[in-house]
Amino acid sequence: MKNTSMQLKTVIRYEFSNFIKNKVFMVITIIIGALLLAGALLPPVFLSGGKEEPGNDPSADRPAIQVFDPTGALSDREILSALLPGYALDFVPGNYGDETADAIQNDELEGALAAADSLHYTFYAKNASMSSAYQEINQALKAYRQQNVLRQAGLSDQQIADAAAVPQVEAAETSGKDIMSTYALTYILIMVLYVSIMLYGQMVAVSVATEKSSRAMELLITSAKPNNLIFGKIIGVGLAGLCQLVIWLAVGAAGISIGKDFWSQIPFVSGVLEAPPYLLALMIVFYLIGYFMYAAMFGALGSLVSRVEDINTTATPIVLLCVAGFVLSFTGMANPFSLLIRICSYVPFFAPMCMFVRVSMSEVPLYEIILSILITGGSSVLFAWLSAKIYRAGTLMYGKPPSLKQLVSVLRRR
Amino acid sequence: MELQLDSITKSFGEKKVLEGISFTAAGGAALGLLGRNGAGKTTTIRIIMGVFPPDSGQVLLDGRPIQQGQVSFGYLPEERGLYPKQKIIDQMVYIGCLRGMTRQAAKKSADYWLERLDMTACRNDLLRTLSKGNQQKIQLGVCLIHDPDVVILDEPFSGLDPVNAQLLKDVVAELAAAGKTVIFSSHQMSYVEEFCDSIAMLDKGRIVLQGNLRTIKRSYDRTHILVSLDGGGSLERLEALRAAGKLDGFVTGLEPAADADTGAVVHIAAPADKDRLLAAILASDASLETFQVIEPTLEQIFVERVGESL
Repeated sequence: MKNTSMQLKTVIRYEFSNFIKNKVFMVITIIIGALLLAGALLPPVFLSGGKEEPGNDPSADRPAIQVFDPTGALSDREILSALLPGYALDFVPGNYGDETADAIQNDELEGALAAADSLHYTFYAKNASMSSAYQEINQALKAYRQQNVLRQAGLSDQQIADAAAVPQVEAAETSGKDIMSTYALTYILIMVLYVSIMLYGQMVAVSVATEKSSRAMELLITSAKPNNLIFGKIIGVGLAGLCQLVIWLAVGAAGISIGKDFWSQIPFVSGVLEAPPYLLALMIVFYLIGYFMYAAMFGALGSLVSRVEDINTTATPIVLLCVAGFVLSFTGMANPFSLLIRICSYVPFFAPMCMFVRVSMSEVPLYEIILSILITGGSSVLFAWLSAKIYRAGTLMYGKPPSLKQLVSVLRRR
Repeated sequence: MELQLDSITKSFGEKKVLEGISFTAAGGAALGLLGRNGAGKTTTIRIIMGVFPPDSGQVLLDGRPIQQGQVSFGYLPEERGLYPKQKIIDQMVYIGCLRGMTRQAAKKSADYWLERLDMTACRNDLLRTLSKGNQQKIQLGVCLIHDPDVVILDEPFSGLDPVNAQLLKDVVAELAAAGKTVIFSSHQMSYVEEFCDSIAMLDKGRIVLQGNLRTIKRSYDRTHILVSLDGGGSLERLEALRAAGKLDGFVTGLEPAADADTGAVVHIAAPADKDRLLAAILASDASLETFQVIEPTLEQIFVERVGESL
């Protein structure tokens, strides 16, 4: 009489619409979406804006640096100026003094360079050691000295240029994968999965515990199959979460595509933009399995507690498992070939994160990927089934969270 | 449709809660499940509903073991509660859909029951904004939304004011008239007495009394007669009659009626002696106003059967 899939659909629909109608959920979605959009749109505007100007008019608006050279260590002014094209060098007789310090303080000068002798210099600036000018001057003085010494030794300009040429070493992965380019993708999956489990998994637990604390459960389990109730809840909440994620990703992607010229120069981001489709597909598969497994565990947990407030303490083991997976997968990112990460990519709790790290950062045979998916998927279903059992048995247990012994006896019950 | 419990036993850990419960609930009638607190009423109901299985024994429907989905149950659990932060109409429709209704049918039925229970004004309110009694009415609506064949109500009267209790009684009477099997538990005997056709009385996990309420009452000794005489002072005048020796041989005692104004209660030796009593009174100069065999109230039967085991 009761159609199982209809019932499941009813539960999914109800749980999903509860979240969509929830004002807090919507506000969080909008606020985070706005932040992501800002994060994607603003850096191109602010960071790329300043650098175009020097090319247009070399003399104007370049930051000025006063150079004090009483010993003549920097006598070849043209060479030094050529080595520091981004700055207007102003060679000033005398020594660094209060007047110059004031000018720096008032932002009239970017900084001042004082030469003690050909090997010792002082760079004065606001926040001198951290400024980019300090780095550039360091490089320029090094090159200046090399050129000077070589010229004095009688080498021609061509020979000097040859000596200064830096050999290019290209890193070629024998695995055929560029770790840098997939690093970002792995990072995103791990972060998103972690956040989803923590956020939506807890929502499942809270949703179940609320049914228990409001005593609606007895009515529910006599109206519908517990399997449908718990699976429906996990899927319904998961879909709501997925919608939220899709909105965020879409907003972020839209923002990045607007500032594409800027973002594609950043290796971390371009790695994501150029990720192969199969990797994205695997990412979605591992995300869904990982979420489903943890959500099932959280669902079981929700039916064990009597009050919503008890969730936090009872959730600790699951949260620790998730954190462990998180940490393990990060160690795996440093060395995707280690034995630890290979073992963990078959352990259900860690597999979604660890296997994806391996897949995206090294070459993994297809059968290993399938095996990992089967193990994790199988245990997800097992956990969900156990969860439904606990949900059903937990219905009438009020009061203290049950001991492990009680739990086992509940599970053994027919 | 006849629901039958056959030798149901159930223990929780060491504690035996039910020790062989058997009774039958017929279709088109209401059965009252009576018992003191902790007698096993809710456990019995939960076993019927399949919340947990019995240790032994079985629940039969028309003589055959009951199967999931074979018959639709309407259940008002003792643990009442729905979603406090959801609109009433939404959750009614949700539960209706869970029980296999289409959304449209569930909506229509929800509106019918809101109307019937006088709750239409609260249709779009959140459940938690309602009073306890009104929440209870919503629960009843949820219980009946899918037009179930068997209706099981666990302590349906708790929390209801007299007007709402009357409304519930009317609804139960309608359900019975429509041929549904209605089982409900209560310890409020007066309600049960009013509209239950049969009862099953539980004490410490056993059935101590069951059957048709009228038959049960008739089975009690019919040796108490309420007599009231025209003109008042019934007790004194009967005492006088007794002193005169007119009642010798068949009257064993006299006492004031529960409400002293209504007359006196005469205890007779055997039920058949009531005719001799009537003849003796008529032979005197007294004019008879009331002459009635007193049946025990359900409450008296209950206290007698269950109270003595205290």
